[in-house]
Amino acid sequence: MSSTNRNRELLLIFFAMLVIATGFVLTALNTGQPVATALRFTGFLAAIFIAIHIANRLLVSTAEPALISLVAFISGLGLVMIWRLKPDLAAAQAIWLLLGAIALVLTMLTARRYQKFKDYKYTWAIAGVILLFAPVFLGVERGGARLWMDLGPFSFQPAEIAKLCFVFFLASYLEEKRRLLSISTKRAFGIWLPELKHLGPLLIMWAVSLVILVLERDLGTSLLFFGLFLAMLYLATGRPFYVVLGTSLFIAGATACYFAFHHVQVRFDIWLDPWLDPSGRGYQIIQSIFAMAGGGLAGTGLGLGNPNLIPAVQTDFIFSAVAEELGLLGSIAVILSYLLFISRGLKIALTADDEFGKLVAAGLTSVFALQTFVILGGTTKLIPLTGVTLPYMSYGGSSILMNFILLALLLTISAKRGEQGE
Amino acid sequence: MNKRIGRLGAAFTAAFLILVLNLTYLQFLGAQKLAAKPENVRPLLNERRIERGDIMSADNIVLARSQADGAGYVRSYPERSLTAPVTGFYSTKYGRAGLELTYNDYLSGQSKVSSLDDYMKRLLGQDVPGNTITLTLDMRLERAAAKALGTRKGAVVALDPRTGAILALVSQPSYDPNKIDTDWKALSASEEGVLLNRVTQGRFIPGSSFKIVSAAAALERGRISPSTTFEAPAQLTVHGGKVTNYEGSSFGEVSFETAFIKSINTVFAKVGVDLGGDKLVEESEQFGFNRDTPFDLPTSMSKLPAAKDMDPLEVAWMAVGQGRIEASPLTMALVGAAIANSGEIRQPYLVARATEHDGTKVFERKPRTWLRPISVETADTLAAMMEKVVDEGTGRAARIGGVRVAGKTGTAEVGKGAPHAWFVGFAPADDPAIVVAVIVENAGTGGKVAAPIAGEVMKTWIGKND
Repeated sequence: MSSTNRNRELLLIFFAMLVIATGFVLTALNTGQPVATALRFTGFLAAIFIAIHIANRLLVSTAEPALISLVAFISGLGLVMIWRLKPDLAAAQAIWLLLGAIALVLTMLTARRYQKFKDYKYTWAIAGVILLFAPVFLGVERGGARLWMDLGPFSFQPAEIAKLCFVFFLASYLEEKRRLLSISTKRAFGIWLPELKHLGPLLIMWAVSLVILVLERDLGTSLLFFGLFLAMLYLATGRPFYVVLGTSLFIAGATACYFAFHHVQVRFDIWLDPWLDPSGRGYQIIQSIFAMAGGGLAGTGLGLGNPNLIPAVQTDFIFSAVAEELGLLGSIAVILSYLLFISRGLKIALTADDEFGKLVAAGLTSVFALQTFVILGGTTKLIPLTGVTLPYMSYGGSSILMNFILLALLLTISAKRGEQGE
Repeated sequence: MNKRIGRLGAAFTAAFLILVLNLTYLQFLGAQKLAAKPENVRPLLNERRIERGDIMSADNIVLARSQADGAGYVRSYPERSLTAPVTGFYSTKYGRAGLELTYNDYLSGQSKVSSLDDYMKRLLGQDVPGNTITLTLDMRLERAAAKALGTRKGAVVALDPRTGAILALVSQPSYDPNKIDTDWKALSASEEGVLLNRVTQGRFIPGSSFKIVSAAAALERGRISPSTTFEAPAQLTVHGGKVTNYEGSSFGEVSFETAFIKSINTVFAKVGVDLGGDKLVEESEQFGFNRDTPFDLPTSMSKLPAAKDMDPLEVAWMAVGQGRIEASPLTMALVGAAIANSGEIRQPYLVARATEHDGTKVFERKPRTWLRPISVETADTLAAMMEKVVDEGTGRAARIGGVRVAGKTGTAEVGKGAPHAWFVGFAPADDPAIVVAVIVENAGTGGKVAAPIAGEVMKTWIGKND
């Protein structure tokens, strides 16, 4: 059983790398960059994922087999696009992927007994809050949002790591309190109502989300945290009431912010009609849509479109570049890859034996799914645009590190069951 | 909890499905609408990378071609200002004009893809070269027409009345399409109208060349034959105003045919008034006035006022060819073509075919009739009258030795400066192969200035076919 899973994993990594190698070579041919560099990047990437595969054999031999290959495909495609868009940044991204792999192995080493994590639930909460709000006091502002901290040559987005802390906090808290939260005798007009005192955490999370929105000027992160909270609350209690109430609270809060804060208003208005200011605030989203339209069904081909017309294309808008150069077929392939990752993540939650493991796996998958949806929806003008990265694909160190740690945790949880089963 | 995890998965799947649907709209269903937005520079950037097809004359001379230049291609026009009114220009800064505009889909290769090879290339993201378009324009005739016009302001257009194929098209002054990016400011500010294609978009008072239309109206709709006689005084009073003959001549009693040959204004004024504004305007519209002319280049409509907006004096002057009439040289050439082609106007065209880079035809023009303003009999009668204009009337300067030529001169009074000189004619009169319309602005009488140019063009064409 264990060796079957790992053999499958190796085969899937091989197929993913085949696609990525083709992408690198085509990019080199079409942009006139050296083919040798393309092959070096491919080799480097293959080495990273084979190393991860070997580590998996040693540390989590029974873990789920498809996740690594999906990450190899998505992050490989991201590296191809970054090399094509900003060749100078590709080496740095490759190093971040290496650091991500190291973080993955370290996480697998330390998280083997992840059940112990639930003993530190308030430590997670405090760490999360500190990380989340550190940039407000120590950070620098970029693109209208206050999310980064400068650490010597690197800048760092603490909110990325804060997501993991909140998943652990919520999983520990909810595992303990879920019965209390879901049991109530009160009913009003036939609708189930919880005890008032149990609504505390909900209100606190709501307040935290709105504070993020106001202080850090970041609707995306705000939405992400609140969405994560609601998803986990629903999983733990099975009460749709919380979701309905939470969503209403968030909409009410966001509406209040719309009227109270100018920057929230501007973002929303530009989403409704970017053509109000096509060369100014609407420029980025309009260029993103033009890129997608320019790609059409089959795309312009790697290196043959004009994705660099989109500002910040290598970070938040990398998907628009993929859509332009690989077309609708390519962009749907990428979306399906993310959906596969999500379905594997939820499968891990389904098959985990312990409730804490289930909650952690589902929580991590929810963060991943929400973040992917928020940024893809934003760049396609489906929902208001917010600055979050596309997991594994966008250029940026914090995001890569956080998502490799997330991957390591999912693998560890999936392997746990296997071990016990044997 | 597992049931809830399943529900959460369903919710995520639904959300991602919406993403896919939205992308399908952006990238497929609504993509063309987005591509056409004026803020979208991608289509222009992409086009720069495409090797546009050539524009070739009928005698295989290159009029426009694309040459590789770094990452993209630059467009060059070896015939420079001579064929600029036909080719137009292509600029990533200032857009497109002429055939570069109207045949952009073919030239840029964005029309249908015919070969599997090209389809594979496009799938692989490689650019497919555009289609070559071959014109009906004959460069030998084009050069002869330009030489005959010289540096004077005006226009010459020649076409084959049997098909509608344009054989020569000269508009002067012109511009050098190779220098459009550097010269744009001066060109667009020019008061000479260098960017204006005078043949298709110039609108001039036609003067007596319009008498072809008035005569057709009289023959078709009035009870008049060439032998009907009229008094031809030096001036005629109509509705309190006067219509006078050129240089104030008086002719006594003349036939309608003589009035046409000698271009007597007072006779046409009387014919016009007797006929009425309604019939005159209706007949003119049958010849293409107040209609959009279907053509390969953008055209301006040749215009007449509505009959109800004219008093009898204006109707009288209109029959003479003066007043609020605006005619493009193309329209006047088509009037000539109706007479030359037994009453049928073939739709004019410049582009004979479009071919892919490997020679596969993607488009081939089939001549078709556009208008049928007069009967065969009327056409034959008018042709005979026009032949006499050249043999013994105002158009003698258009004569060619050994070939029967028909035509009508025009001298359009334009207020200030010398009149515009017009000539509309065709040859050979018994089996017309070419129709020519000439206008020279502020240059004198049609007989002296325009007729010799038309004669030169017709001679070159008939001589060529010997």
